[in-house]
Amino acid sequence: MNIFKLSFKNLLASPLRSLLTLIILSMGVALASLLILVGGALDDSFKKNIRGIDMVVGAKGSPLQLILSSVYQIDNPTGNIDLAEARKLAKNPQIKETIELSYGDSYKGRRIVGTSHNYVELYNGSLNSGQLWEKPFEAVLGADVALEFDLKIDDSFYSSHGIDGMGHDHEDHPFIVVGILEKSGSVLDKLILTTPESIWEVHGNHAEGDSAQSQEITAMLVKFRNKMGIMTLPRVVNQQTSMQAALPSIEVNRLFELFGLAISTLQIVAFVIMGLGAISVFVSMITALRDRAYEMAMMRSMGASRGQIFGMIILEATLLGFAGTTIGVLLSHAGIAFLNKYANEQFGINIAIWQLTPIEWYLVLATILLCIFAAIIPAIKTARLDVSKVLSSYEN
Amino acid sequence: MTEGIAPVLSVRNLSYSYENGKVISFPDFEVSENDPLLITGNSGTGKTTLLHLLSGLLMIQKGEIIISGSELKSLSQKKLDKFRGRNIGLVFQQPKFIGALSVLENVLTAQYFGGGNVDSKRALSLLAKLGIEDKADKQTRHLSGGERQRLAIARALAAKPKILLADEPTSSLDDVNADIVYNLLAEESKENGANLIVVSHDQRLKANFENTVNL
Repeated sequence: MNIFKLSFKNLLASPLRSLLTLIILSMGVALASLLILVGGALDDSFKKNIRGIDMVVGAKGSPLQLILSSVYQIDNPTGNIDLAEARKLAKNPQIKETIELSYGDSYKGRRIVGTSHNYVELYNGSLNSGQLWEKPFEAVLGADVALEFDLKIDDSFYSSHGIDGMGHDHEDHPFIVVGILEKSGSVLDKLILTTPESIWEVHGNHAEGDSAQSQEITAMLVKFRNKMGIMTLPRVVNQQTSMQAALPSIEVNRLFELFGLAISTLQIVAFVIMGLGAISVFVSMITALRDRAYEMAMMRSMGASRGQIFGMIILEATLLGFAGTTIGVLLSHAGIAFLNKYANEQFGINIAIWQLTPIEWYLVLATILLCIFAAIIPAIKTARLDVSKVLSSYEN
Repeated sequence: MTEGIAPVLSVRNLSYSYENGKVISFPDFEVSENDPLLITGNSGTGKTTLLHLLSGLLMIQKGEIIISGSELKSLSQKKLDKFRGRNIGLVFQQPKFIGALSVLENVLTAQYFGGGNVDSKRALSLLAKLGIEDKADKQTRHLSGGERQRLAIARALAAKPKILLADEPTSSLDDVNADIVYNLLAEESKENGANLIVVSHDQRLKANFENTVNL
């Protein structure tokens, strides 16, 4: 028999009260931990994919849509731009490097992007097998695409029009798989890469004489020579050309303001629930003080010190906090396991479920401390009970 | 400790004033080894107060209580708790227990807080002697009135106290059961080396004690 066992038995002796506190605590922790993980992963995923891209040029329309479609490959393109006009812009001395992207077709919902090898370099992609594309209709698959459709080198497939996988098939031009990329955790994993000519030819856009004049691309990723370009180039493009320039960093920030509002609202909810958990611990301990005053006085009469009584109440709260956070973290990670599948599809989010992030450790620690804090006043009150008074009040 | 000469308990010039200004003075008395004591008195004569003073649950305001050579007044709150756990076993009028624990666990808890070893063998043999060993794993609320009395005695003796203090142990019982309870107290305290002190207004007990104090 010891204090730990006594605390544990006391909690078990009032299962409903303990259970209620546990449920509230674990819900608060689960929600908070879920928000931390998803928020962090979204942030990571979005920041990772704009690395090295200072500006995107595409057809006029919504700048956010342009960024979402060209950088993250999750929205429809805003339209096409003239390749010649884009290349003229690329000669601007403030521009260091450009990558042209042609997209709009897909294979079973996976986007086919016609581009140069620089696009792979941009995300530090590397080949798992085979080689990069050289000729039209040679395709290199992102790691997830190869896995999903079980495609190997020399396999062939037909693309279909549109990016939702619902368009009509282009049955004249099969693509041949020549290479498969290593998983990079970037947008590359979900793409099928090929030459820009493949896209043009599929669409019957045969450019006779091979002049770039009549050809179109969907978007161009731009890297500036220095940060000064950010100040002037977007305005120049937007005012003096038929194209649109958008800055990924600004659009992503705008997106995060929207996300952020939802996340902050949920965070407040999480903290309110955790606050309720703390109040529940407080109430639980205060009622225990009332219901168990005689038992506590009896323990004192057996020789228990005030410190032991205090410790017992604090230990009960700690056990509740510990169990609550454990259940909460388990719940949130179970939620993540479900979400991984869905969010990975949508946003390229993949969260490790078998480990705790440092912030989660803080959350666990903070919740347990909160429980202890909530129990301090009841514990002091219980420890200071007038034993003689309590015992004699029950005797008569 | 000079055994045989120094009394187990001695009370001198003890008085207690309540919050309402009422003052009760207690007579001096002593208890020596193997000398059971009966403290009698009608309601309002301060029986419970004396019991709580003797067990260190109430702070001594005036006078002195010396148990086995230790003056209670000189002990700090913390030391008093420890002293009580080691030296005094209490049997209350209404036997009550820790509801979350089984019969055996209640006895073990008394050993734990009493500061001695948590010795389940000894706890079980106590329960056996009192005839409730078969209830060891039961919840205390499933015990009958008589069984509760027995458990209260087992618990009070669990930590091998020097003094067994019983508060009105027989007042609510009929003659037959009062006799049984008194005999249990007398036998078990003797067997476990504890000096029995009974505080009661029950006149039936008087015949059993040579040493009595009237408040």
